[in-house]
Amino acid sequence: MPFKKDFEERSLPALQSLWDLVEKDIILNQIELKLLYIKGLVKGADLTEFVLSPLERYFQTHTGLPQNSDWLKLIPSASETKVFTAPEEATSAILAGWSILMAESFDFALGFFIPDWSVRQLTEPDSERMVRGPREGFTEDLQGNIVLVRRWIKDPQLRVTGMTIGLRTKTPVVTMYLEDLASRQLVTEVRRRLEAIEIDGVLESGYLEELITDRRLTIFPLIQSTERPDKVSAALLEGRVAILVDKSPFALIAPVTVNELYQTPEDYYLGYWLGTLLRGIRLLGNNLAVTLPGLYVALIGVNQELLPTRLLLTVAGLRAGIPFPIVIEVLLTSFAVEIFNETGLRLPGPLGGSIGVVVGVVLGFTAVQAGFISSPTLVIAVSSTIALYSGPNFSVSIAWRILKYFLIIGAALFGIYGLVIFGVLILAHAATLQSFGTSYLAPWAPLQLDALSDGPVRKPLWLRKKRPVTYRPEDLSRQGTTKQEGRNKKNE
Amino acid sequence: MNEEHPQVSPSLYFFLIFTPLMSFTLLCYPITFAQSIGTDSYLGIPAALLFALPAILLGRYFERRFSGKTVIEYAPLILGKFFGLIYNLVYLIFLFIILFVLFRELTGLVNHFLLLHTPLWAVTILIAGSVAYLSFYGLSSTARLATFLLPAGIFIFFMIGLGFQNWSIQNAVPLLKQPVSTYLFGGFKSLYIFFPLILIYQAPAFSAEKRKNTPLTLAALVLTGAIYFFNLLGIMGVFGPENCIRYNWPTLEYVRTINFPYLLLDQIGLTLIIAWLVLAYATGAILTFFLSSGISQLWQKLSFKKVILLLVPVYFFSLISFPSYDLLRDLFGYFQYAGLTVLLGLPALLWLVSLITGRRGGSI
Repeated sequence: MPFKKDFEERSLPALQSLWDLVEKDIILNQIELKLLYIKGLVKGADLTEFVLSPLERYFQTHTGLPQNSDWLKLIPSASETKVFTAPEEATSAILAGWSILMAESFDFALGFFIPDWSVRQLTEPDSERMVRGPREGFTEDLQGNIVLVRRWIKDPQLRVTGMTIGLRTKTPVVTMYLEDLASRQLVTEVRRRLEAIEIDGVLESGYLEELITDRRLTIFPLIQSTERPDKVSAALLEGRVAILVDKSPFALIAPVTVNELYQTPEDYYLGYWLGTLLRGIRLLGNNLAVTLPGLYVALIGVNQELLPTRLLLTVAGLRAGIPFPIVIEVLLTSFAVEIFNETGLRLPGPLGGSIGVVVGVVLGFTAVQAGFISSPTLVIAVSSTIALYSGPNFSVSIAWRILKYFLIIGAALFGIYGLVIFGVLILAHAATLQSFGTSYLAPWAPLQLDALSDGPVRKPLWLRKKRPVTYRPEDLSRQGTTKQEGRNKKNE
Repeated sequence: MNEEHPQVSPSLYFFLIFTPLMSFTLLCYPITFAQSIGTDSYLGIPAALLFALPAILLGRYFERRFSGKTVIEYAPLILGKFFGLIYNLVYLIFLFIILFVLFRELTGLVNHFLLLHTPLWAVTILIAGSVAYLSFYGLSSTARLATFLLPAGIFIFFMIGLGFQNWSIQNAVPLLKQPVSTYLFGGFKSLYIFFPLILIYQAPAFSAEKRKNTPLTLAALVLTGAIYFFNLLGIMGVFGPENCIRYNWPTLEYVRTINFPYLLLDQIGLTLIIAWLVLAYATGAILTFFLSSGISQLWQKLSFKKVILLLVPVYFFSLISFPSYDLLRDLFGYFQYAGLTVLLGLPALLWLVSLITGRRGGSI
């Protein structure tokens, strides 16, 4: 059966119910053509200029129909073209922004991709700001995001494989990896997990992150998410796999280990001394964020004997008259800071900043003066919250936020001992985790000294001869010699 | 070997052996050395190391002859089903006793320093429950946990070094004043510090690279010995043997002598307690895993996870039925001799039977 007839019987009735469907019957040189597309998804002017006009010109000089293979050659300017043989494929393509042209007697349809939707400008990602480094982040445009990575890695080994996930959203998803670097098993496993997803819609890469993670109930992020193309490129160069999702500015990177949770690409842009210092600050910040409130509760509420007497007396004096036990006071203060923090994030930029000032200065000061909370508790709660954001991105800080409360409860129940036990339980849980077959605690456990040498201490670039074994890359060698011959002589 | 568990890498294997060795008696071992030898009791550590070596050789023999098998599997092959069962029961009971001593040490320390008014049962529940959780996910995660806690071990070593602040050579000399036999006997009597070494009759079966097992075990033993030597040298130099034996936990008291005028916490010893606690938990998890794995190999209807769950009430009731910490110290002598038997005596017997009967497993 000719394609057009088949399409009109099986697919067109459903499409015709769409308010924004454009259906044009065109007769060129006595040949009936049908053009279908969705208004707003296709650039009408370009369609006319690059598709319909060349066809018109052809029929002005030719009487018969072009041969099958010649159809697409007639329209060389169209950005992307494709031949469809199944009506269902053509229907999906129309909904995805393709224009479909079909002729009466043909057993195929022609598709032209001339999109007309607006794309956000490249801006620096708000959640991963840097002092030094590129100012561009991913946007919601998948194709644009792929280009951003391609502009970093111009290697023919860079593989971009695509699939569609979501029965209704039909969201394009691509995996990117370097063919000669990424472990075969890893690539296969990523694809297997993605292909296994059956869901009606994928609205953001967070959907996939939750669905393909190794352990669904853990609070630790077992897949890294980032808005930065340079971070994705660095991951690809280590033999990892990136997943990009249409309409999401967040790329996913697998696998991930705890080592990545305090590192940023900026560490490598700023020189190794500063890189090391920044990593140290982030590590310290994250640890303080998680343990400080718990430690405070343990020392003030249970194990007062461990504090120097003068410090204890100072804190006790400041807490005199507070109507709550220490754990309730800390929890209330922390919750309040969390609420204001969340509010500040959602409010429009300038307003959010103002609210932050109001909360931080006015409300905090008033609460202390009113005797609801003590000033040391406020200092601890605010310091912990600020320290949470010393990490490289937001998703990591969420895990730390939850762990903080877990440790506060442990400290309230059993003091320092509870803090230690609950801390060990968290570590034990982390030790059971794997990210796509890689131990989450690597390179600390199992101990991989070479990979660990670029851990808390940022390794100088000229010593990073090998890729980290953690991700089992196919090729371990990262660089040859970086010595600049004769430099020393010249200096002398 | 139990097919349920993945093989562990050499680095994880090292920490499976090293962590229990390092933490088992770290806080209290100087007492027996000081009692047996005196001022230069640290010289007993090399002697203890010397006595531990045959255990490594025996472990190596069985490992090579019965590659991939644990003592639970090869003991019946050598001794026959009945005597093999008896042998394994003795082995597993002793493993349980090591755990018991560790946990009682842990509860004693917690009750003495951190939770002075908390009833023993509450502390015990916390210990039994959390150790069960730590070991529940299998050997790999337990070994990873032990490896991740390496900084705690480094920190302890650092603290021991700082303890030399108050060190006086007068307390630690004269050297070799006693006859050599005293050092040898002191070392032999204190061999209990290396009792977790009995894991070499089980752990090598779980190792991915068998040829590295013996060097790694030896490295773990020597490193532990070095840390113990260094620590004992410091303790003797600060306290001398007379003062050392007055304390329940001399290592802790030694670290508490460190003086930092601007340190926020009044008791520097607390940091040592925390570091030791995390290592002790990892040790508890490792030993619990091997105990439950051994029991599940013996009674194959029970998975090791079920055994772990069954062990929780056993730990709980055995610990609360032993309320006096001093009683543990009184019974320590029996523990020492029982341990010598299980670590050296019985495996030597097994080796002899293996040689005599020709039941030597596969070729080397």
